Amino acid sequence: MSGSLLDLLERLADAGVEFVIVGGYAGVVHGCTYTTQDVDICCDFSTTNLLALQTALSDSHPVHRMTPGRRPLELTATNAGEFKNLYLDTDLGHLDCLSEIQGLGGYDRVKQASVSIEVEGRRFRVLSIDALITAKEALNRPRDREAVRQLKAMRQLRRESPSNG
Amino acid sequence: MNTPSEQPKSQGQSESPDAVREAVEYGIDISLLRANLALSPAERMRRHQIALDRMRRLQKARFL
Repeated sequence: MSGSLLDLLERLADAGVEFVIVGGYAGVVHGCTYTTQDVDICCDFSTTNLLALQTALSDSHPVHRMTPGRRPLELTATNAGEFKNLYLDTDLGHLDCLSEIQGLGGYDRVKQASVSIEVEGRRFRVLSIDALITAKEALNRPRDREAVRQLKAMRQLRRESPSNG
Repeated sequence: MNTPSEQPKSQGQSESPDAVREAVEYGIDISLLRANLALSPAERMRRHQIALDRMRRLQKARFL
């Protein structure tokens, strides 16, 4: 795997996929210092949006990472409604697509709790630092607790130095 | 019935008055957070990718 996680996100944005960056990578966007190997997004699980996501990833060989035999992603208008989450591996990296976030709710709630950032001329939505803390506290795994400590410290540093963001 | 002062705090809602000090005591390098704070989100993503690529190369070479 030699791709860039940012390339992955750019493809989704360019294809008009409705999504919000969540999880560990959202922490990176907010300034956390750890390294994560995947991108988690919360997205609209409508058939239209999932088919747009599939088109965006079509030449990066997406497969279902968690299934035996790593089945290729083959969404259709008929089966797209069957999924609540998609755990994908692509040539550009791992991509986890979630229909809801523990502690926050479904895509509409997550989008309301997100902020817009600009990266190389594209706009992305990323979960706000407050909402990310809420979500990570709800999950409460060891790595989430570590992230919460960093995020709370980062939030305080931002308040003390509001010109930085 | 609990009086207000006896009511347990709801989980996940507590906030440390000094999250930075708490992070330092936990072992988090605040200088790295300060350095990241000075960067744009785009620059944080680019630097993360550099670190990830380095980690992948080490994994491929079986150092990790």
